[in-house]
Amino acid sequence: MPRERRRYIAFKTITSDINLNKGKVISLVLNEFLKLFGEYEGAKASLYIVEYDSDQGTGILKVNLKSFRKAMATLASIRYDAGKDIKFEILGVSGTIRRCKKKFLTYTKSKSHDNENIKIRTNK
Amino acid sequence: MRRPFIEPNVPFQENFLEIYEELTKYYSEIVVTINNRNDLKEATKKLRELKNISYRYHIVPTRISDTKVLLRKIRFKVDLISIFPNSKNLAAFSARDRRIDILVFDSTNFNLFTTSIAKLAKENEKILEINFGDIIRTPHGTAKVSKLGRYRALSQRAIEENVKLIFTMSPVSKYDIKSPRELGALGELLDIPPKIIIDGISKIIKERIELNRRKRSGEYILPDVRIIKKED
Repeated sequence: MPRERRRYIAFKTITSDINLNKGKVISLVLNEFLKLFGEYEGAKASLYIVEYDSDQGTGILKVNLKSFRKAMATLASIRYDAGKDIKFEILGVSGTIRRCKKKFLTYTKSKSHDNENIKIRTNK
Repeated sequence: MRRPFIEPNVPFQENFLEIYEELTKYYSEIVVTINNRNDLKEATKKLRELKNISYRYHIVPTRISDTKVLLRKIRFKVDLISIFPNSKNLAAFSARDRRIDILVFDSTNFNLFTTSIAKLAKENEKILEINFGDIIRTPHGTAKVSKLGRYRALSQRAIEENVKLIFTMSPVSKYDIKSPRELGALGELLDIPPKIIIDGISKIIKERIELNRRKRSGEYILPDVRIIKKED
């Protein structure tokens, strides 16, 4: 069986007054995907939050190549969490984690994924 | 060169300046939507110093006669005119009238956009607006399912009949603002190809605004016809 091709989506969360962590982000994204596209598509998409920096609010979402537009639609359609405002801004899409970090997020330290200090590269 | 994107529907409201600042990160021009003539005066006065702003008058009519009177008054004051038809006769009138640019249908009046109205709209070069903001802001449940279905029917009918489409988030807060790439991704919810969305928020709306500005300037005669000086 050929190895599945993936895409890595760099994103940034903008919230009103919600403290987000990796677990919370995973549940937000998975729940939204399940509500929009269902369990069958959810299983095929192999969604996973590779990393999330709660200080900067940036992270990387891994997704199957065939479902990556669905994953982007999911991120774009997250609007509320328990009645509070939240927004997922898509910074960019890449084929490898390394390229994704290099292109859209610049890391100053790289000891472990959880403690990395991420700076967003403004590409606008 | 960066493609110039235009957000075709930003309601004139209290936090407009905050939304404008956020929108200018992604969009090169912003269309301010106004619902009444008093607001039009206020908006032009307040937003005089802002760059790259166009004005759109949105009509929510009750009768055809009232709409005709209103159209006569506003046609040369704004860059775009849109209408929300609430009856079959009004939908047919709106699809025919050359002063109206944009037809707005949502989940409440989507059944008025029949094949015949779509054909009329195509003949008279009308643009259909799809509001993603209405879908995104609806909480999950039966309401969202019904909205998704209705907007999908609307957009697929327009694509079948080759009616031009434009897309908006109609932002009411900074959390509603989406980049062109995100709008393209949202097309997945309604099975709309990203190219149609990207064209809708750049080429189609820009051409219409430019055409209307030329018409307003007084130099316009017919499409592709212009007066040239002897030296040219």
